[in-house]
Amino acid sequence: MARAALLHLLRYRTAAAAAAAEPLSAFRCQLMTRSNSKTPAAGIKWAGFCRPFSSKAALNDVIGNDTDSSVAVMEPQERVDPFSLVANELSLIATRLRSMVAAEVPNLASAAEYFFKIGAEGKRFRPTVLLLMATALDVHIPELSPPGIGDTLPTDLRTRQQRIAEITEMIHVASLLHDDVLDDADTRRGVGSLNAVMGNKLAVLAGDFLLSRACLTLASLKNTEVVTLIATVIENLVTGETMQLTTASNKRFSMEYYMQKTYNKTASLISNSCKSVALLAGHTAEIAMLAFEYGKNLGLAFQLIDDVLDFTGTSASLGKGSLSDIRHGIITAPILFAMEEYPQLRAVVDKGFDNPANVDIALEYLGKSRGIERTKELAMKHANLAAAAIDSLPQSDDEDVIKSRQALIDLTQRVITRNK
Amino acid sequence: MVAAEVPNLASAAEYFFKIGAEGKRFRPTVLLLMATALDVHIPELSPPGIGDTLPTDLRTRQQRIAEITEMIHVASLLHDDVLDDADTRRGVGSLNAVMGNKLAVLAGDFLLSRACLTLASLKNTEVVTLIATVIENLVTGETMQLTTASNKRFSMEYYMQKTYNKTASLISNSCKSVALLAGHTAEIAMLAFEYGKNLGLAFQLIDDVLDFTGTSASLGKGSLSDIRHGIITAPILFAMEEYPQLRAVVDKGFDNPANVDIALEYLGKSRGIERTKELAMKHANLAAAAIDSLPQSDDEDVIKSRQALIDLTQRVITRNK
Repeated sequence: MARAALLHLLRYRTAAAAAAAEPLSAFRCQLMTRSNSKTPAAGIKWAGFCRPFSSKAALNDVIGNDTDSSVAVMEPQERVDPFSLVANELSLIATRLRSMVAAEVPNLASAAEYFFKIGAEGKRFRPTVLLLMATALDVHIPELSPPGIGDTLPTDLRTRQQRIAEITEMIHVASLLHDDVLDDADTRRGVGSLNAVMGNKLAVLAGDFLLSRACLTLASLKNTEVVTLIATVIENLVTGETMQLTTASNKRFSMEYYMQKTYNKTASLISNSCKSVALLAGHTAEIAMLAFEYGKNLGLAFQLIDDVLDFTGTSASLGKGSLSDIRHGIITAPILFAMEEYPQLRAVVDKGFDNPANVDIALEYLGKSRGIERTKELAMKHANLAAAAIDSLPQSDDEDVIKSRQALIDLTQRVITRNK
Repeated sequence: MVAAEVPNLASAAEYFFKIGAEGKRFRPTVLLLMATALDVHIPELSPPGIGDTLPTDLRTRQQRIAEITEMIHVASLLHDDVLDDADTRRGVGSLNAVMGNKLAVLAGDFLLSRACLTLASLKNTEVVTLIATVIENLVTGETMQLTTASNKRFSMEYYMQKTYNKTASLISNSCKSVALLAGHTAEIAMLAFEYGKNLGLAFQLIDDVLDFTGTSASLGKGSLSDIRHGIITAPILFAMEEYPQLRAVVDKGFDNPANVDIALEYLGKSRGIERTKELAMKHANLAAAAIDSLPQSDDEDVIKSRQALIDLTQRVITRNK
């Protein structure tokens, strides 16, 4: 099957390319050791973490055959799984979310169950980032505070920051619900059962319901700057989705337009919620901006790799199926890069992809081009920018702070080395 | 405010203003009158020489409530329309149809987000809470209406709660917000709330009546549209109290036009329409009483606005479209 062969080719090409892709990772490691030179003990640990991608490990990482990429990349001595650092809090948040979306009307409650299925599947990536960010910015998890300090304020602050995580998840799922409705509209064509209509209607309503709960929770924070940031996120989500819909416009061949759309659709939520976490803690504008930059670059890196995986990943790991973007006529970074090398690809894209043969042609061009590699390079660039933002935070000797910051940096690597 | 970077969203915004013009801008009218009725002057009428810009600023903020209210109202209409369109587009699967639905859902979300941004700019978290509650109520009300399998839809109490959620909550909470922005006491804010709530309920009850009795020319949306969609409103609920056998008719559903005729026959024999009108008048009077309970004022504009608000309660129940 031609397509399988094309994908196979893509995978090996990228592996070979990555083996040669030393410079960026080496630079990053330099950055890390330099910034930690003031704390020798920590520095030693970090140097251990800082092993550049050896060709063997890189091969595994990039193809994505490795089951645990973090082990391949990092020394295991002080490895902390970012997700385990905040596991208890995540459970707490999940419980609160469940009660928060409990509705008087049973049908809405069923939609909320859907909510948690999605949350469980997604490893709660966003809340993890936000909770780690909260600690990284010097706000402790309450049970770790030394006994005898009776000030309840940190607890209160932590709770408020947890609310940001809850709000973020609610908005994220609301957008998924609305997007799903419209995909479902496609597949329900001609199948006009009342259940189908109620399904769509409930999904739209459930999305609205989650948005309203998010707004209520936002209001409870009594911080209007945060309200503004999160309201901006909702607007960005809508704008991003609409940008994706303007399929007739030539703008969808523009990398700049694509990156703006990607920021709107994916990065805005994480960046503005990271910033909100910082603002709630009363941090300076500079620190809030660093938190923002981390979230933004992490989100962009995440989406770029998402685009790559849609071509190179397996359907078992992706879940949504390989090549789903291109089949839906969504032009992503790898194709955009390929079009720069092969202008004739543009004519192919213009024809649309209802015809599977056209998909194969596009894949052929993609395979010949450096589209996949350049996308990965761009993802790595953003991952490094995210890590640099964390490195630029004011020094701290606190162990939890250090661990959280390391975990955040670790996440930037996981995002670009993941295979699903 | 609803101009968007992306042209397609802008077209959806045009729809917004078409609706606004058609609706006689009822809600903003109520809110602006309420603002004046609560002693906040329209800026150009302030006596010259009083240099305090605070009233102007306050008035602007109260106007924002009117804008927010309209945006939320239209957002809910857009979402509702999507789902009605889903019905009629069954089997017609053009890309345009899907883009139409998608844009409508997105446009609704866009308006909601703009409403939230405008809310945030008011820097009053109590108001933010009130308006967020409205959005939640709209959703809950719509969902209550969807639970057609439940016996609750035969309950007048359930129906009134649903009507509050779908229609009255927006007006009541935005009236209350107007009062809160002006720094009024909780009692005055509650009177504003009560006015909006009762006005909204009266409005919807007459809406229900007109769906049976009005002409399609005046209604616009067509006579009997509620019952044809299986939506059981106050007149039918009252009729069912007098004629329990009507309940079996309703249970059969109304896809069959003959069933609609049977229901109408029962309705005609019953006092359903009259009792609904009586209930509407009761709520209209409660709304007027709320205005009368406001602290006395000798200001001419205040008096005129309050009279206008009371006048509206009458218009709401005597209108024929």
